[in-house]
Amino acid sequence: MISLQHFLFIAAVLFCLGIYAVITRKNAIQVLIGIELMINASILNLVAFAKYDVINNNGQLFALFVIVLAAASVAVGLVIILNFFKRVKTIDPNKANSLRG
Amino acid sequence: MRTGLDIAQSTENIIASLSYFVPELIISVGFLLIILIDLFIKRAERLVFIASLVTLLFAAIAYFIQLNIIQTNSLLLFNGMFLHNSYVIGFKLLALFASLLSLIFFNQDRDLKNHPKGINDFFTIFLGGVLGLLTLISSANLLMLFLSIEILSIASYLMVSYTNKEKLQAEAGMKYVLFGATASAIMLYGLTFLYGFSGSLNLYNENIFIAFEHINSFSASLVLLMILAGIGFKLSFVPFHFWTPDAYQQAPTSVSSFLSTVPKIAVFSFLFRLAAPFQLVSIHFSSIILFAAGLTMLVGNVMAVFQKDLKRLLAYSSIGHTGFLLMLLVLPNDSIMSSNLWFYLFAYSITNIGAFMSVAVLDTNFNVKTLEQMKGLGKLNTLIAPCLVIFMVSLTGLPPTVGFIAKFVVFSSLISETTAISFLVPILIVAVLTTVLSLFYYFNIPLHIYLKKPEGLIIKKQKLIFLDFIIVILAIIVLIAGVFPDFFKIF
Repeated sequence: MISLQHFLFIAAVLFCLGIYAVITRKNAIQVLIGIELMINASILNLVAFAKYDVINNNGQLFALFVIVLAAASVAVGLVIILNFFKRVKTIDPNKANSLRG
Repeated sequence: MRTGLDIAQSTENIIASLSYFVPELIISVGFLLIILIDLFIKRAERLVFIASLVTLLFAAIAYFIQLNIIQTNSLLLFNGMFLHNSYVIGFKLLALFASLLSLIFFNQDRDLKNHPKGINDFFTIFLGGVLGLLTLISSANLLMLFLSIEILSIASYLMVSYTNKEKLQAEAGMKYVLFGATASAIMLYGLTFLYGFSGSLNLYNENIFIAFEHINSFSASLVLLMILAGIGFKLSFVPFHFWTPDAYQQAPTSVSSFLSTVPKIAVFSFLFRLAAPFQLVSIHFSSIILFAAGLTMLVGNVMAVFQKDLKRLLAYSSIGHTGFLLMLLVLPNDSIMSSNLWFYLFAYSITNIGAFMSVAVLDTNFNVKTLEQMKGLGKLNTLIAPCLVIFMVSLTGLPPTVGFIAKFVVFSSLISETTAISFLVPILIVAVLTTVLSLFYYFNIPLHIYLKKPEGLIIKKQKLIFLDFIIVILAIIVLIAGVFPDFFKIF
């Protein structure tokens, strides 16, 4: 029997891995993958919690919206990273340190 | 498992709700129309501008009509997706007013006008963002909240990165998008726990926050902190402020002006509406907010003192003002307080937009970007320089400007609550001290403009543009609203 706790545990692990990737990776695309992991953790949470909702399929519906929105924001993120690559010839966020103060 | 509503009932609710949703529908139609105009008509810059202006104006008129016929009690639209009452409509009108000013500013902005691909796509993105703003102000459901914040965020990422010919602009855009996406992912994780603990997505369900009595206070506070991470990114309060100076400095001036005012109106009105329920979620809510407020005021105002670049200075000043507004969230949520919040946001918006407009005009005419370059500007420009001084006086909060009235109202309502809320007294002391500190950097600008000798200022041919006219009107409003504040309180 897989209980709610199992889902939440896997989601928490995914979320932490995502945060770890965002903080440590030296490649903007890998940072975006980390963000995607965090969003997927939330989707898993939503679907797991939805079983206990009084209204059917509320959480699943939210999860579908989140998937679409994640795709949209990743598309925008990739465009902006591509543009950064064109100007600077690198996608290492640590190299983006000209603005200070 | 029982279903919440049957299909006939919910369809009926949706059809009945449509009539309250006219302004948002107008903006959606305008948004689609502009895409079509851009596709089928060549050189349609002027037409697209007029179409977006008319769209916003019609939406504003529709809200005015709604404000006049509204009943006193609140309505929930679309099966509990949106809230509809006079509070919501008042803030939507304010957001639309600031968006209208921003739209005129975009049209006059040199950086955007000279863009090789034209400005039409920019207006489409802008209208999409405005739609997100309006739904955010009235959202009454976690799904709607997340959806609106994401619409607004994606629009802002694109607006900041729209002109990126240079390396630094691309860098600011990338920082903004990576940081923003991370913040909204953290917020989403927090929202899922809010859903899980309460068992409902609906924020206006009576029982939702009562469920939090059984959750231990540590996890409840953690959930709140995660949600505040996403919201704090939009409001740019400390420690989520790192993107603000970079993005504001490198984005076109009009975009910085938009980002520093309009999303803040929306997010603050939403957060203020939910401050009371959030206090039920966690007893630490007021302490968290007050702590963030104190830190934000300190960081914003102290860092602003060391800035040389004008737009960076205004960015840190807007961080300081965010901290000041955050203090209002701990106050009891009644009609007088929401009217005070409305007035402060109104004062802050017109002053800040006016200041950014003046900076843009000075940049266009004299190529002035830093404080040093402003020396002796008052002798060369007799129209914009005095207006900029008025805006600076208002941002500091001195009479006879609107900024003084707004700050005075906030201070007096906070002082009457000092016994009820712990931690309020030290934060108020921080507020007073940072207001004094802000005198140093705000008055650096009049000091450089009027009292220092000019050094190698390049005099370009000065052309009076439409933006000058708007700046003068805004300066006059700032002065009039400082003397007769009641005239400008619409609710």
